[in-house]
Amino acid sequence: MPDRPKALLRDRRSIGKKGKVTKMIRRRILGLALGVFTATMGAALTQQVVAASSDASDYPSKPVQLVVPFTAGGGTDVISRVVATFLSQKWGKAVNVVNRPGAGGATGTSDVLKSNADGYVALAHNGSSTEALIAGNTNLPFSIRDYRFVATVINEPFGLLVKADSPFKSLKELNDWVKANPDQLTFGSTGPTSIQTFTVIQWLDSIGVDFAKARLVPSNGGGELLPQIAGGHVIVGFQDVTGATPLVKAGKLKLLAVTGTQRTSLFPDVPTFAEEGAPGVTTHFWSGFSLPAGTPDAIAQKWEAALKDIMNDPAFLDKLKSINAQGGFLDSTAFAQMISHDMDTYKQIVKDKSLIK
Amino acid sequence: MDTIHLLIAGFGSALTPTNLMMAMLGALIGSIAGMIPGVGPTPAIAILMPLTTALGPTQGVIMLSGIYYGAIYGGSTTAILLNIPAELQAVPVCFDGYPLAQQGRGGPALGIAAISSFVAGVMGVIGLVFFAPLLADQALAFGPAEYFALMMLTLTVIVNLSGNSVIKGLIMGLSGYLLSLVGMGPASTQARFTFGIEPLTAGIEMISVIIGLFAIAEVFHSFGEHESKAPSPKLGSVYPRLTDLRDTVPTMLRSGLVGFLLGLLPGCSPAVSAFLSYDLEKRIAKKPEEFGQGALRGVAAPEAAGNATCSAGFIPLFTLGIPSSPPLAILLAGLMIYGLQPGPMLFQGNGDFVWAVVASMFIGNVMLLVLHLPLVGIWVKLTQIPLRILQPLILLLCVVGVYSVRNSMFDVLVSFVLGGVGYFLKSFKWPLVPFILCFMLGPLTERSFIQSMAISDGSFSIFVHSPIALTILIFAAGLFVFSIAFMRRAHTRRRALQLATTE
Amino acid sequence: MFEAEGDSRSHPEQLSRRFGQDRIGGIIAIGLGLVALGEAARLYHLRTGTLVGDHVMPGAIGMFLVILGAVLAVHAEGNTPTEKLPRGRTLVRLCGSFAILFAYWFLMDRLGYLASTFLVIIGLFKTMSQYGWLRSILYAAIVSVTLSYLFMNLLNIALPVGVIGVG
Repeated sequence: MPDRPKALLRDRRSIGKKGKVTKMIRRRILGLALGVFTATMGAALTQQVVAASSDASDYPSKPVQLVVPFTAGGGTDVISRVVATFLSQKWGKAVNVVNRPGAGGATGTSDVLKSNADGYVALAHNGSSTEALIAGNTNLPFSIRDYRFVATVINEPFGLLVKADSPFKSLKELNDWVKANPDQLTFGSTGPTSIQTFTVIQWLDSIGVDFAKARLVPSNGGGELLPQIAGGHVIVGFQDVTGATPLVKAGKLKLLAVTGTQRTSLFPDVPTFAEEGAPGVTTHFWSGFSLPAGTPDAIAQKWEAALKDIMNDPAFLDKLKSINAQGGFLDSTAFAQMISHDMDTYKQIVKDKSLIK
Repeated sequence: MDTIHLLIAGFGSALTPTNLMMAMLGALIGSIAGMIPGVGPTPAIAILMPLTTALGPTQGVIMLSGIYYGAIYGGSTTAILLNIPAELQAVPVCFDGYPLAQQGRGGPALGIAAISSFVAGVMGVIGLVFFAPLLADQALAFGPAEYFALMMLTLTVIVNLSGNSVIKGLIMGLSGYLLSLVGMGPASTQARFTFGIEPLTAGIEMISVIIGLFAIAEVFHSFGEHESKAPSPKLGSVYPRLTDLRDTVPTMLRSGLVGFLLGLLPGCSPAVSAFLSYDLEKRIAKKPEEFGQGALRGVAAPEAAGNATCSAGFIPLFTLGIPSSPPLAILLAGLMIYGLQPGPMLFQGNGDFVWAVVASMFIGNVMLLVLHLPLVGIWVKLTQIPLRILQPLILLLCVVGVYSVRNSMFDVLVSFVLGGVGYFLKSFKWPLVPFILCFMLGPLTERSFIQSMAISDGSFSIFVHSPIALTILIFAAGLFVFSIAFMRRAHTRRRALQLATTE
Repeated sequence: MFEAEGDSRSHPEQLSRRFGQDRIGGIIAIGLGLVALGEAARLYHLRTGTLVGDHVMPGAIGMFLVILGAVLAVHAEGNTPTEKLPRGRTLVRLCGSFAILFAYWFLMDRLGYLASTFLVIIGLFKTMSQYGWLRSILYAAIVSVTLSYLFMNLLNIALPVGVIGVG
C-alpha cells in the first residue's frame, strides 16, 4: 500500500526531535547522492569532450569498437578478439569486440560503414561478408566504394572435404564419379551466392560438369555442415582449412585438395587444385580489417602499421598456430587489389550462371 | 579409462579459485532467484546470461550451470516454508514440505531436500560422464533427416506443456515458429516477414523473446502485488536425524534414477519427473497415508527426480544440441552465443572445456549443499525482499541483458513489445512454454527439413530409409496420441472429482 | 476440446466472456495464418524444388494456424477462469510503467545510458513501486550510477552513449 512510506514518515515525525534529526540526515544523504551523481556525470562528460580529435598523434584517445558482423565463436570473431587484445596492449586503450550478426554479415557491415569515419568504429570482415556478399546481392545498403581497406591478417585456401571413410581416396576419383553421376552430388553451402557455391562452380567447371545438376544443401555454416559431411549425409563441402582442422585431425574428415596454387602449411600433404589439373579454382578465405571510407589517412595508416607489427610479433604467430590459422598479411594496397580482382571473378560467375534471379 | 582421465583433467581446470568462485556465485544467485516466486530458473538464466557473456566461455557456462542448479533447488525453500512453489517442479514439494514446516520440522525438510538434490545431481553428472561420449559418437549418425524426426518428437511434448488447452498450446507453438521465421530465409537469403522494417532482416533475437515473454511479462503480471505478507515460521534444527536419512535414501536413489531416465528424453521437464516420482513413491510406500501429512519421502522424491532430470538434460544438450526444458533452452542459447556449437562438435572440438564444465557441475552440486544447509535462515529473509524494489531492478537488468547480446536497441524494443504481448497471453491463460520452445526449435526444424528435401531431391523416402529417423517418428506419433489420450482421461477424472466435491 | 470444463459450468456470465476471448484468440490465429500463407506465396517463385525453399515453413505453419484458429473460434468452450485485468489506479500505473519502458528505449540512444536510466528509474519507482519523489530520486541516482559503473566499466559492455556524450 502506498501508505507504508507515509506511515514510516509519520512515525518518524511523531518521535519529535529524533524525527527532525532523521529528516536532516536523509536530506544530507540525498544531497550527497546528487552531488556524487553530478560529479560522475561531469567527469564522464569532460572525458568524452576532450576525447575525439582526428589528429592521429593521440589516436586512440578513447576505447575503439571493433565490429564483427558474425556471431561469437566463428573464425573471424576469434581472430578479431586476438588482434583486439594485441592492439589494446599496443595502443594502451581498450579495443572492444562487438558482435553484430545478421544478414550474412550485412547488418554489422552497414553499421560500420555508415558510422562517423573517425576511426573509433572499425570492421572485421572476411570474404563471405565482403566480395561474395556484394557480388551476390543487388539490394545491399552499401557498396565496395564505402570501404577503406586496411589490411588482412589471415589468408588461406578452402579445402574440399569428404568424410573420412569415403570411397574417394583422391580428387581424381571424386572427379570421375561426379562426371559419371552429376545429379547425385550433394554439397553444402550457406546460400546460392555464397563463396562456397562459387568454389563448387569453379570446380565443376574445371571438370566439365553442369553445375545446375548438383544439389545445394543449405547450411548454417561450418559448425553445421562439417558434422553432416562426417556422418555421410552430405557428400562434399568446402571449408576454410582452419575450420576444417579439428575434424580432419580427429579423423572424421578427409581433405582431398585445396584451392589456389600453393599448398597450405597446415596440411602440406594435400595437393592443390592447380596441381590436380584444375587451375581455375581460385577462391580463398581471408580475414581482415577495414574502416569506413573517408577515415583520415593518418588514422588508417596507424591501423595498417599496427597490424603489420602484430603480424611480425612471435606471440601473435603463436596464437595463430594455436587456433590453427594460416597467417597472410596484405597491406592496404594489396588488400584493395585483391578485393577488386575477386569482385570481378565472382561477378562473372554470377552472370554466367544467372545466380541472381 | 579414458573418461576418468578426461574427467580428472576437467577437475584440474575446474578447481581454479576463480572457477570455484563462479560456481559458488552462480549457485548463490540461482538460489536467490529460484526462491522468489515467479522467478524460476528460466528468468534467472535469461536475465543473468548476458551478464555472464562478459566472462569467458568456460567461466560463463560454469556460472550458468551454477545458476541453473541453484534456481532449480531454490524453489523448494519457499515451497516448504511458505507453501509457495517458486516453480512448477516445486509443487509436489509443497504437499509434504509445508505440513512438515507447520509441525516445526521445516529444518529437516529443507535438509532432506538439499541432500536429495545433491544425491540426484551427482547421479546425473555421473551418468553424463559415462554416457555422454557414447552418445556423442552416435550423434554423428544424426543427419538432417534424423534431426527433423527428433524435432517432431520434441514437439509432441507441447501437448503436455500446454496446461489446460492443447489447442491453445499448439497455436502458441505455431506462433512461436512463425516468429522464428522473421529474418533471412535459409534457402534463398531473402528477407521474410520483415514488411519493410529494416532491423527485422537481422531476425528476432532469442533473448528478446525469452526476457520479454517471461521476465518482463512476469514483472507486469505481479504488478501491484507488493503487499504479500510472509510470516517466518519457526524452523528448528536444519539437520535431519539419522533415521530420517536412512528412511529417505532409497527414495532418493529411486527417484533420481527415474528423473535421470526421463531427463534423457528431450522435452521432459523436471516438473513431470517430480510429479511422477512423487506418485511412484506414494504407490510403493508401506504407509501411503503418510504422504500429504508430512512424509519426508514426499519431499525427497520430487527434489531428487527434478534435479536428476535437470542433470540428465545436459546430455542431449551437449551431445545433440537439443534442450529438454525451457531453462536448458536458454542455456543452449547461452552456449550458442558463446559460439559453441552443441552437438558432436562440442566434445570433439572443445573437449577440455566440456570436461571442465562437467567437473564444475559436480562442484556446483556440492556448493549447493554447502550453501543451503547453514544458510537457510538467510534464505527465508531474502524471500521477503519487497517486490516493489525488485520489479524495477529486474526490468533494468533485462534491458541491459537484451542489449548486450547484439548491441541493438531494437532487440530491447522487441523485448518490450513481447513483454506486453506476454502479459496479455498470461492473463488469458495462453501457455507460453510451447511458444518459446517452438521459437527456439523453429530454425533447426526448418533447416533440417529443407536439407532433407535437398538431399533426397524432394522425396519423403529419406525419412523412411533412415532407421533412426523412422523409429523416432513412429515413437513421436505414438507419444502424441498417447499424451492426448492421457490428458483426456486426466481431465475426465478431474471433472468427475470436481463434480463429486461440489455435490 | 481437452479443456477443464468443470469451472465454466458454474459461472454463466463468465461463460460468455470466455467464449469471446477464445473466439478472438482463434480469429487472431487465423489472421496470423493468413499472413504466413501470404509470405509463402510471395517466396514461392524462389524455390529450388517443390519442397525446397523458404516458402515451405511459412506455408505449412500458415495452413495449420488457419485450421487450428478456426477450430478454436468455433469450439470455444471456455477455460479455467482468467485473471481479472487490473482496473482503475492500478491500470493507470501499469500502463504508465509500460509507457516508461518505451520512453526508455526512445531516450537511450539520445541521452545515453546513465542519463536515461536515471530518469527512467525515477519514473518506475514512482509508478511501479509507489515511492515518493524523495526516495525515487535518491534510489535513482544510486542505482543508475552503480549500474552504469558495473556494466560499462567492470563488465565492459558498450552501452549507448547518446548525443550528450556520456555513457
